[in-house]
Amino acid sequence: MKTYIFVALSLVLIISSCKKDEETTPSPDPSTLNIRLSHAVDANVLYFDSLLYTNEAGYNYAISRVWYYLSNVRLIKSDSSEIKILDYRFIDGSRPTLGNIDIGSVAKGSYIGLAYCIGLDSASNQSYSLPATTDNQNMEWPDGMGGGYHFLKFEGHFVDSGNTFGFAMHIGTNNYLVNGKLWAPITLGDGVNTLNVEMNMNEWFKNPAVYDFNMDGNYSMSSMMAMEKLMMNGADVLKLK
Amino acid sequence: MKKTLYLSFALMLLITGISSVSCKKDAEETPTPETPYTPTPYTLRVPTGWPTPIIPDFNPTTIEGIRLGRMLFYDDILSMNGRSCSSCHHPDKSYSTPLFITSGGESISVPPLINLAWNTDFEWYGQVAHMDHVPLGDFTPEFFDPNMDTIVARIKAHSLYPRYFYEAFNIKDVGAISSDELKLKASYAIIQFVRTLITDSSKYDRVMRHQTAFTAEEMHGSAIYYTEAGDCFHCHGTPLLTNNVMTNNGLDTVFTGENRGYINVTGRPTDLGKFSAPTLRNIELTAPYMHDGRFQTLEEVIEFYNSGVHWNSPNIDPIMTKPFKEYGLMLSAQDKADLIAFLKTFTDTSIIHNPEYISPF
Repeated sequence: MKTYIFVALSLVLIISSCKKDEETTPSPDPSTLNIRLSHAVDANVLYFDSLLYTNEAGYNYAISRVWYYLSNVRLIKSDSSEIKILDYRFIDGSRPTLGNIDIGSVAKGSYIGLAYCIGLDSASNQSYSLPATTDNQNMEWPDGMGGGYHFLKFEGHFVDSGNTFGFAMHIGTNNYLVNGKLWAPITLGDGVNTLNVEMNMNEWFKNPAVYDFNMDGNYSMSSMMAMEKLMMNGADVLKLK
Repeated sequence: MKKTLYLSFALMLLITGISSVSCKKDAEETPTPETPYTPTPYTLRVPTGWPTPIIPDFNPTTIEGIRLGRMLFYDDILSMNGRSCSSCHHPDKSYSTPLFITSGGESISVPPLINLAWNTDFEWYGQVAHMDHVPLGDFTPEFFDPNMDTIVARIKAHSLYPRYFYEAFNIKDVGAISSDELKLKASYAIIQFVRTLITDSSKYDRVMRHQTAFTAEEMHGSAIYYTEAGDCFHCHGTPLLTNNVMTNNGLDTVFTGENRGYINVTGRPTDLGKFSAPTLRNIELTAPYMHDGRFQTLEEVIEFYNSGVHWNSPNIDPIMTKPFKEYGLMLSAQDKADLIAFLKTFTDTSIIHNPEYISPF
């Protein structure tokens, strides 16, 4: 009888021991990732409301507002598969703390780039679907014009023939979601990893298409062609610092 | 005998009851060191779809703080000239007033005190960083002309204020704290009350809640407001009808004094001519309009946006200078009338008579 009990207990121990081993099957060790997002104009620091910059079309210009949603951020593996690390974040270029994005745990290892969107996917781009914050409400796209949210509000002034004019590069509606890629080797090791990412505002005005305020319009809203050009140019506005 | 016992017992209960009520009343009116300081947290009502109100940790809202603030708001006890907060913030004007002339002779349109728990900038050009400090600006010769010794004596002699200050802020003797501390705590109380002044019962709100419908005119006005035709929504979006941003809307090309706007706070030339975009809730009640009250009617305001914007104003908001606006919005007389009809749907007169808001005196 004692032998049976001993065998039975041993079996239970062995089984439970095996089960535990299965549960702790190695998975990639997590490391912590923080993104620090900043804004610049080519190699220059972004100073708001200052006519310091020149875009690809040759206009001297100043920036007064940079509001947008950074969303669906993914790390790209060498086999092209992706790990999503951020759903969405509202960014205001004049409030640097909003660019401090603590991602949390991410599998450590090597990646070949970062994929991102400027704007919101169609599920989120529904009127009143985002939390009722002042920032989200300031980004609302009126119901009468289709509803949802602005993806980008990039505004300022430019000089043309000695005269100053305003510009407002607004993007919205599902057709104009910016899909971007940032190609650069990214290695996440033990502990805290920080990715310093920078948006070059001049990239909105070039590559692949030069955006000319006079030709394309200094206000993009209501212009499908203008928004499409901005959407395409937005595909490479981010880079690693 | 039994009857006598019952009567004696009843008499004892009655005496105990009277004694208890009497003691309670005494305790309420005369704070003692033994009276526990236990302010009751108050949760602001947040209308559906509105952001979380902004309440700083240093001035949490309490029932006792609101009670004190409401009394101080309507009482001239803080001034030497008979003024109180309510002298310039009339409930029937959405807690604003027609116009205030400064000692320097400049006109200021007194901002309404509604839905301020959601505001991020205060006064017309953001002179005060924290809402809780805004009333401190009234303790000046220009507004309350205060004599703090007299004010302290008045409060100490009052039948209610000593207890109210104690129960709101644990101040056992207002004469034992500095004048600055007393002003600060009075300001905190007033702002706790002001944060409760919430308006969300206009026709516009009821339409949003599908409880009623716009007229055809209001509907047309809404379309102008929320499209590029009128383009009001970029600065006055749903639901607070302000974007809480300092903006130059093209009123002037030359600026002096108060009219210089936000630059008076920041010193940055790029903030010249910028002012806080006000909420349009209750706009019908808050004439005259703009920071200096230059427009007497909504018709004048709409005409300004329709044809009077100064495109060459320095730092003008880019939204004001869209190409098609170069020659004005080109609104017809009917468009303008309908837009005003829509603006009037923002009116919520329930705040005028709300028993929690009106004077306790």
